[in-house]
Formats: sequence, C-alpha cells, structure tokens
Amino acid sequence: MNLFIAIAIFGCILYIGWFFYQKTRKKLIFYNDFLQFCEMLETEIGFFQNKLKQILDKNSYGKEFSAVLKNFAEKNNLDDWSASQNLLSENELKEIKNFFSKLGRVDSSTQTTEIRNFKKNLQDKNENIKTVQIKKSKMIFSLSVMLGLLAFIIII
Amino acid sequence: MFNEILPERINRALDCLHHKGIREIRIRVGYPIIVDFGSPFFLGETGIVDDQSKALQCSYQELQDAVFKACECSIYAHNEELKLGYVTLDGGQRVGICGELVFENDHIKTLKNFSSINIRVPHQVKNCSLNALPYLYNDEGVYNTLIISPPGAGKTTFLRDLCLQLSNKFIVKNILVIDERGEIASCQNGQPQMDVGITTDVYTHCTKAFGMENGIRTLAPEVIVMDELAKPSDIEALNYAIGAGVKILATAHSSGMQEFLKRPYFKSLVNDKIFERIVILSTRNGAGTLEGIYNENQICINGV
Repeated sequence: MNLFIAIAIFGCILYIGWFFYQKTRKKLIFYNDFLQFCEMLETEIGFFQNKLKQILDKNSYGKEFSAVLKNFAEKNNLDDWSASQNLLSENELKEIKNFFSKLGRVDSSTQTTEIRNFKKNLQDKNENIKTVQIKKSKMIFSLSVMLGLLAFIIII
Repeated sequence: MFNEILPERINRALDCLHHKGIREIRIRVGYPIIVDFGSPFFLGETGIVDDQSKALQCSYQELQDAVFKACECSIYAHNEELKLGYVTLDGGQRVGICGELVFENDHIKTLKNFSSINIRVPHQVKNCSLNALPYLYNDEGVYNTLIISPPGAGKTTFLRDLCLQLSNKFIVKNILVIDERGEIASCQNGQPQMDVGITTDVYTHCTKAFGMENGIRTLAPEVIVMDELAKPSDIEALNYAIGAGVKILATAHSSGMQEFLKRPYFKSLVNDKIFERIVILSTRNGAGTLEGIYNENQICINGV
C-alpha cells in the first residue's frame, strides 16, 4: 500500500514538473513557428504581393500556431481565439491579436515595416524563452524529479 | 459579388429586391443606403422605403470591413487600384471608393479611412448596339468610333456589345480589349465574365499605353477597344495605335457634342478628324438611348 502511494505521489510531482517543461517547450515551438511565418509574410507580401488567403493556405506549422492561422483564415480576426492550456499570458495574447488585426489592412510597405517590427519583438521573445524560460523549466523538472524521489523514499 | 463584402443585415435587405435590376448601391458612412435601379431609392430592412429615416445606414467599421473584403482581405495586393479609387469584384462589379488619401514624397501612397463606396453592377445587354452597327463599318473595315455619354448612360454596355457583334459576326478578325478597370470584359482567372466575342483578346488592369504598344506588337489586332478616354496619355496612346494602322473603339464622358468640344484634348480629336464616327448616347428614354451618330464632319448620319 505504501509503495502504491509512493509511486502515485512520485508520478504526480513528476507530472507537474514535466507539465511546466512541456508548456515552455510548446511556447518555444509556437514562437519559432510565428517567426517563420513572419519571415514568409515579409517575402510574400513585400515582394510577391500574394493575397493572404494564398499565404495562409501554406500552413505547415505546429498544432498551436496552425490553430491561430485557421481561426484567422475563417474569421479575419482572432477575437474568439485563445491559446490552449494557458500557453500565453494576457499581454502576449493581446500582442498577437493586435498583430493579426492589422494584417492585410494596409499597403505593402507599411505592412512589411509592421511585420519587421513585430519580428524583432518575436526574436527577443524567442531568445528569452530559449535562454531563460527553458532553463527555468528544465530546473523545475529536475527539481520535481528530486522531490518526487525524496517523497518516494520518505513514504517507503 | 457585392453580397460577399456587405454586412449580413444589408444583404438581407438587398435579398428583398430584384438583384438583376440593381445598377448601383451607394453606401456612405452615417447616411441612408441608396440603391439605384435607374432611379435612386432608399434601402430599408425589408427593401425599398420612402422614408429616409427608415433607411438602413452603414457604420464606419462596417464600411472598412466591406472594403477589406473587397480587397480579398489583402489591401496591399489591391493598393494600385485603391490609389485610383476603385476595386473590382468577381463578376466585374466595380466598387468606387472614397476616403482619405495618404501621400508620401508627393506621391499617393494609399487610401485609408474609407468614407463611402459605390458598387456598380454591370449588365450585359446583348444586341443593344445593333441599331448603330451598320453605320460603324464599311467594306474596308471598322471606323474609328468614339462613344460619348454622361455617366450611367450605357457607354460601356454599348461598347461591350459592339465588340461582341464585330467579333461574332466576323466583321473583324482580331480585336484587343484594353480593360483598364476590368469593366468591359470583367476577367476573372483569365475568363471573361462578360461576353466580348470569340475573336477578342483582353488585357486587364493595364494602362492604355502599355496595352497599345505591347498588344499591337504581339497580338496584331485590327481593332482596339478601350473605355474612358480622359487623360493626355490616353490621347497619346490612341494616336500611337492609329499611326500603326489599328482602328479604335473608345468611350468618353460628356453630356453631348457641344460640351465634348469644349474640352481641349478632345476638341483636337474631333477637329483632326481622328474619329470617323461619334455615337452619342443619353438616358432620355432610359440608359443607352441613341441620340445620334455623327461622321468626321460632325454631320448626323443616322437621321435621329
């Protein structure tokens, strides 16, 4: 019985640590996809002047970012969209919705300038996630492993 | 089509009307919506209303969204048309757009803060040019013809049908349409939505100068069809084509011959006898009323 409880508690603590790590990892993938999308937008809009529908059809991104593009393609806005599992903070959501609310609504030089400015923000965010947040989440995961083991030993 | 860009409540109101009769839909922010069937009427929730206060209005945001959708959610891709004050929808419906011009280095950069739109619904009226057709060509070929009328009197409809008749009756072997605003043939994905004849090539959304120079070189047309002569560059392009031995069918805005002759660029066209035939249309008995056909000496030849 004690063994069962110990394994259960170990599993729970491990899961919490893994959850934080996965959330940060998903966020990194999301922002990587977003960055790639912005780079593609710069070329498609600034050079080819392709229409948004054509650009959005080239959707080959991860699950979270694909959901953003699908939502935008259907409704021309992201008013109803919210990231799953609280992936993004309120501010981050607001920034993304603001970006998409202006997409396609201006001439190409203004649009590419806005995309470049937003890309800079994304690059900074990406860097922050890679250097700070991923390290933090790996630490949390390691801590959860240690805590889990400790709890296991104590209970046993 | 216009129902793909307008808000749902306005579409519901328009669905109560006979779409085929609609010539124009005028939407101005904060003002009653007007539908033109040849005469203007206010649009209410259940169709036409007499009382202006019961007419539907369009909000600022609804109009911005309508223009955004008209540009296929990509204003940058339609910016060149926007700068000229219009966008063309599927089916050749032209949306004239009013708003705030943005300048950069003395050039028009774009249009923003749209304040009103005018959706023009084209109608193909086949055989409307048949009465005039016998006067516009002889055994040697088509005459250089200018069609004059005030706005909304059916110049483009007449021109389109003239092109169709000349083509399908094999009076002309090859015709080139320079469709600067996409209103004559209304091409969509390479396919004309309006019938302009089986021996007709179409340049869409290109300037008259480009169309003339390149078209004459590559497509060897006998006749070039173009709409709305307005600028000196149009006259230059026209002279280039005539110099190359190509016949021209064109249109110009004017209430009649007297007013047309007052305009400096056009006066020289008539005085130099560039156009061998001038067709005058009006709305006296409805759009497309033939007021007269004049020869190069400004003499009426069709007894109207």
